[in-house]
Amino acid sequence: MNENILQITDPVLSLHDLTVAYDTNKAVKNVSVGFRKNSVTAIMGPSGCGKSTLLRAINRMHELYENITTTGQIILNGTDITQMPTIQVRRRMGMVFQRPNPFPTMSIYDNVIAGYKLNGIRLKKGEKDDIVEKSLTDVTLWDEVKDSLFKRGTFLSGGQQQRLCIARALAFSPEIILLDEPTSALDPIATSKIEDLLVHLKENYTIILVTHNMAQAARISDYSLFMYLGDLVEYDKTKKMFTNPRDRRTEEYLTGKFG
Amino acid sequence: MTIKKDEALSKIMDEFESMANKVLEQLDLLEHIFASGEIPVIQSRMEQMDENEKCIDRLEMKIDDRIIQSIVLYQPVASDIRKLFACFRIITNLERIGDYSINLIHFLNRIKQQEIYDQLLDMIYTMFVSSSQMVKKSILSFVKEDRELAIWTIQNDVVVDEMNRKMLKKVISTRKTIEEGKNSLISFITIKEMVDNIERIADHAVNIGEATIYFLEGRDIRHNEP
Repeated sequence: MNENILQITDPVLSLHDLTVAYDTNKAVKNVSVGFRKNSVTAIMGPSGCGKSTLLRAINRMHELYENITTTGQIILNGTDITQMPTIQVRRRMGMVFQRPNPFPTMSIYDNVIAGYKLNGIRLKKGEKDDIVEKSLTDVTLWDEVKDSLFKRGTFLSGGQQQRLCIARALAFSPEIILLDEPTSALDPIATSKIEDLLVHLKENYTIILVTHNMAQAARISDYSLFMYLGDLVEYDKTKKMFTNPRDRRTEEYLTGKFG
Repeated sequence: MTIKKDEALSKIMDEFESMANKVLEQLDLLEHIFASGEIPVIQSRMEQMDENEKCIDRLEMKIDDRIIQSIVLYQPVASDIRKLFACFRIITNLERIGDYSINLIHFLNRIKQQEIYDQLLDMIYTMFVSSSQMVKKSILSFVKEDRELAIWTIQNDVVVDEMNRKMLKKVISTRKTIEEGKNSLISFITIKEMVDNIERIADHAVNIGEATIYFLEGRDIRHNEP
């Protein structure tokens, strides 16, 4: 057992020996870690360390590519999701990407419930309205867009679009929200709003985000995970890792010796 | 960002060393004064110590400011933030040691009876040298990142505390052999206050050692065994 990896009791999500290889090149190596429910975990590390690869592996996105192999287990609330249909996985785990990507031809309303439509799930008008209002309220966007729900999503500002994408992810009431550098394309004010939103959302969801921004990780995350060259080097409470990291590599990364 | 941060930290450490050297200079001057046994303290020595004290106060404010700026501008973390925070605590303690040094000069000038001072000087000098050594080693522990020196300082506090207790007994027994009078009483009280100040200098050295342990190990050992 690596003493630099904090052991979480009753994790909502746990990875066991997760390895991702692009052909023969292992980008993520034997990662075993547990994530606490209703927390924000930041995955950090220098470019090319495997952060985004790890995140996409959790969401089983690599199965779309023949040259990428993923081994190991991903246990979500007691169920091994590697054996589950991917559609079911994506309902339990929502994902948000770096660049806001609302569906350009759809309205704000339709963007939120797009997941249901694309999965062939029919809802009554009232149910759709409720889902849209709740999801947009959860991302503090409802008041800003309630009078223009049928305008295209692309008419919104960058920050609003990203919140719309988060609302789209929340529409299925997932257990986990995965975010891959969700604010790196946004201005500081929009970034601040997304950060506040994530802190608010953890009351009901478990959030895992990849970030290059150490200050952001320090501001909003409860736990931090440091990766280097595909290895999970250290995992601990953020305040502990940022004041007294155990591993020399973590210390050097945090103090800017490399990055 | 890291170049500017490293430069800022380096500047802070340079100024810290200047402040620490001034404090050590005060303690060296006091050691000479105690060794000579002469009271009152000669004017030139007093002026030199007053000048040093002003410099210490100026440096404390300057370093304070630099530390705050570094935190705001560079958001240091890990060992960088621990070092800055330890430095912040240490300069407060150094400034107080500077104050106590000036107090000691004033106390020496208030002693009315040389005879009483002469009888207690050996113990006062020994206690002062002990406290002064603790300050030197604690400063060195921070600058050289030497855990052992910090531990030595913290553990040596009991020695100075014991000297303080013995000093009280000596003061009482000396009082019995000296003729009573107002000057006599003032001298005893002044010497007791002086010894308390020397003991406080040792306490501040302990604080510096504890801050160093926090910097080196991330452990807050205040009120605990190291």
